[in-house]
Amino acid sequence: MMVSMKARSPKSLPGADPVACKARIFPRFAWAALLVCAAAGCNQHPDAQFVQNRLRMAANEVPGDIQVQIAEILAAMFGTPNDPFVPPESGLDVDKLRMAAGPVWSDELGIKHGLYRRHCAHCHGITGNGKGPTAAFLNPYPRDYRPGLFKMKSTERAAKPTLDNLRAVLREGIAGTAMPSFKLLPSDEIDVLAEYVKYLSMRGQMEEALVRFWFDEVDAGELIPEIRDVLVDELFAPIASQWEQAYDAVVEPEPAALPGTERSRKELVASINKGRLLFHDAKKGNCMSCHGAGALGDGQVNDYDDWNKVVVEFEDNHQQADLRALDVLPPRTIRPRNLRLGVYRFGRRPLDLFRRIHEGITGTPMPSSKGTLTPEEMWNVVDYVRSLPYEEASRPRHMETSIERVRM
Amino acid sequence: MVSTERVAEIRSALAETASGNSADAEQTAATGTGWATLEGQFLFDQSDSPRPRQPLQITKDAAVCAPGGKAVLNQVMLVDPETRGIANVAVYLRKASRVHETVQPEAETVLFDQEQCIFLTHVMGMVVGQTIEIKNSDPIGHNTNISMSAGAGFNQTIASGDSTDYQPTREESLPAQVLCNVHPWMVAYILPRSNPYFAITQSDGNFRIENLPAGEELEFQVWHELAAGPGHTLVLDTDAAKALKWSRKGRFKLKLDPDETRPLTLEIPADAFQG
Amino acid sequence: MSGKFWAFWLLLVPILGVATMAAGPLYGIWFPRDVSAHGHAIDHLFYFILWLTGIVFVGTQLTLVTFVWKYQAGKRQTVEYTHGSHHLEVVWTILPAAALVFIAIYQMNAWAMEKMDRPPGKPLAEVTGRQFEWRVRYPGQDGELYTPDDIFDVNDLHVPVGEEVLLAVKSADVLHSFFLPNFRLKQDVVPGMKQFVWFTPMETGKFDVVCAELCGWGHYKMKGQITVESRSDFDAWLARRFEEQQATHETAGDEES
Repeated sequence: MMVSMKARSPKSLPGADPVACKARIFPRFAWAALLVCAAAGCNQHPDAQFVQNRLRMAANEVPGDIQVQIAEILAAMFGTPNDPFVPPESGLDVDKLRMAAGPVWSDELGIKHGLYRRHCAHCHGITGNGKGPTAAFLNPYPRDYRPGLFKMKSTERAAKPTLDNLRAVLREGIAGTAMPSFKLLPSDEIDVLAEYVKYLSMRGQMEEALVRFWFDEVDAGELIPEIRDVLVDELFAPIASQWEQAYDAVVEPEPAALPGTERSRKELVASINKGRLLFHDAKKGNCMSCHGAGALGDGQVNDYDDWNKVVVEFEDNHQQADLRALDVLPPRTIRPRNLRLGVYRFGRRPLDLFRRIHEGITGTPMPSSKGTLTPEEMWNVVDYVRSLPYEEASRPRHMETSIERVRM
Repeated sequence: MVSTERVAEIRSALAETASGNSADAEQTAATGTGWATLEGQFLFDQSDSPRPRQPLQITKDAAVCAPGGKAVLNQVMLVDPETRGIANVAVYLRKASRVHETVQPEAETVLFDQEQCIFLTHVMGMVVGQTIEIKNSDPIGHNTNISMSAGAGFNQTIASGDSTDYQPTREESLPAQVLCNVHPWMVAYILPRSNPYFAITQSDGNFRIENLPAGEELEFQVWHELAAGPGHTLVLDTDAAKALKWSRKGRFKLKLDPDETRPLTLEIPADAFQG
Repeated sequence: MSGKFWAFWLLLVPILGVATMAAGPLYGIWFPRDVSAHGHAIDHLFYFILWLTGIVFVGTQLTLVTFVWKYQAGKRQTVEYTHGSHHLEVVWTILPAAALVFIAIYQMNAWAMEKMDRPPGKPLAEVTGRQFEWRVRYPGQDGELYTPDDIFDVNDLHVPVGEEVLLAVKSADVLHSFFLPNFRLKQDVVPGMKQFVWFTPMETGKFDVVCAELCGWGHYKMKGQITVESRSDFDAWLARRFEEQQATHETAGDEES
């Protein structure tokens, strides 16, 4: 703190008048700063818009006027991100959609609006295309709702998820992925979000149906007929009824084949051993062929799920494709699950694992084994899979050594 | 972006109850009388050579899938060396106003088998209503993954020596891809149609579709798994194709006279295919 | 601009500083409710330091204002040259040092209680911080973690009231910080380090678990909930969660599962 200072009288600096100097520099700087701020203008965001599925348009070589018409039809049938419209046949609740849609704000009562944008859009995108700003950094990518394919559900493979399934995903999140648990949201907000996901999925499916209709039925130079027979009865009604029938497609295991609730240790071990044999049986389910002989998920590492497969096929067919211009993330392979980690994306209950084996996983290479294994055999495999994380081979060795510091 | 007038216009159109417009439109297409036959051959361009057959990457179960260590070649582009005929081209009628009773398939089931890790029928046409019996004649398990449009589809494991039934409920406008995920080099195509007027070219490139409706304009779709058009439709702009009003979606039109057997031999340039 | 002008503005600093601190609690901007047995030790330390530094703060600011008011040089006055005061510098080094040493010793008990005196026994649960959630794992009937009867949950931690709770905390990926505001408990979880936290909840209710170490884009919403309930309720909840986890078929009222 001892500073030696040579005092200088202000008069000693040639031509310097400190007070006058300051008076000139400061206002100049201040005016310059004000001018820059004024030129920057107020922060005006353009309204959020749905984006079209450019990859599908490019793959089908849809001409520009049809693309415009499809955007117009979708706007008429589904509205905008701020102002949703509900086709009467969809069974959607427009009040819930209004709570989810639009910008994020809270009213005087503290009720939150714009829930989808608040919680979901930064990963799943405004259009529900799985390409929000955060999506590129996530592995696996967030779900693209537009094909109407969902992995996490309790229904048959080709069926849609029930609203309960969507709500369960929102509540529990998906272990092992970036999808968080929204358990702490009130249940009415979860209902609203599930409804909006369904709305975005229906909209995406309608877009796909319109492109397919154009490809199949519309002659060159003509437009898609904008009549109820086509747009609603032929194209939208099957989509709406698929969603409606989801509850009828829930997979319930046969009661007769259920494993008992109070099984002795011996029975459990016998079941696990049977499951192990079935897992490695190359003639039947051939589980180890993809999941690996060690169940580490290393048996088949270069396959794609349906969402990434369309991108790969497009790249194969169009060698010079610029994926970023088409608003598409670089395709990734899908690996079979490493069953030794004890991380289950769809729920860890025996029932959940049974459903995976019974129906497979929609949109992925995981097949259904319902033609190959009996329900008892499936429960054996479930027991085996559930025992895998606790096998000696599954314990990471480093937990035994002092590499992991135990503090205090 | 989208104008509010157009949105209002479409919404009011949708609010109108069924007007019967489309029903009228279908009836305006004139139907003829009598039946005719279309037969022909798809030939690969004389002046060029087709893509050579690459060996498949047999990454597992080599004892079954590549016995004796022999390389297995892919079936993506099969051109007969003598005739230059292209195999596995699908030619089919898009809409049939009427169907001759002899052309309706008698068999309720069609067999779709796989052996030595190859689907035995590379491109298979069938009629909606028939059942596909998917068979596994290998000593190891396979899964058969069929991707139909709009999320419909099928993916089940088939045990060795076993078979499973699958019945498509809708026709497809283009053949659906069939894969095995356990053995990812396995690929085939299935085409369910609502009318029986389809043909898949043989190894010499020949095809024949009998008893087609005569006296009316018929539109055919042409497809090949390596074609460069959208959805692998075969898009041609040769003079012969232009005479048939060949469209950018791989479709051509013609009108057959009753009892006619129309020959249709087309030379396909190499650039109609990818790669 | 004379010294008196600036002195007035400088006087606002201690006035506003004290006023906002005093007014905060009236607007709900103060501590969250403390429901733990030993949280008061942290609060006490906070108030002690607040008062000590507050008095010094007001004193130094008033001194500054006084000097600026009294000793402002007029325009075009020659500067007075001084070497400073060695005596003053010694004083204002020794006194703060002594105060800091005092504080360091004064808080040692609180630190030991919170961070060093780990209660014996096995942890009630293991909490793993993961981008961007808190994964909870209870040992189940056998009392051992990493056995087949473990019970899993996410963002939902239950503990019994009135008992000392020991939790093992770890990170699955990056730095997080396990922060229970209502228990005055915070522990950074470092990847590769296995740590323990302990506290004794005194009231039932639902409280926040938040992350207090920037861990990525989702850090702001990495929130969980800790439910304090009676021992019997806790045991019942745990048993119910175990049963749900073993389900082989849907039962009526499975809406929440």
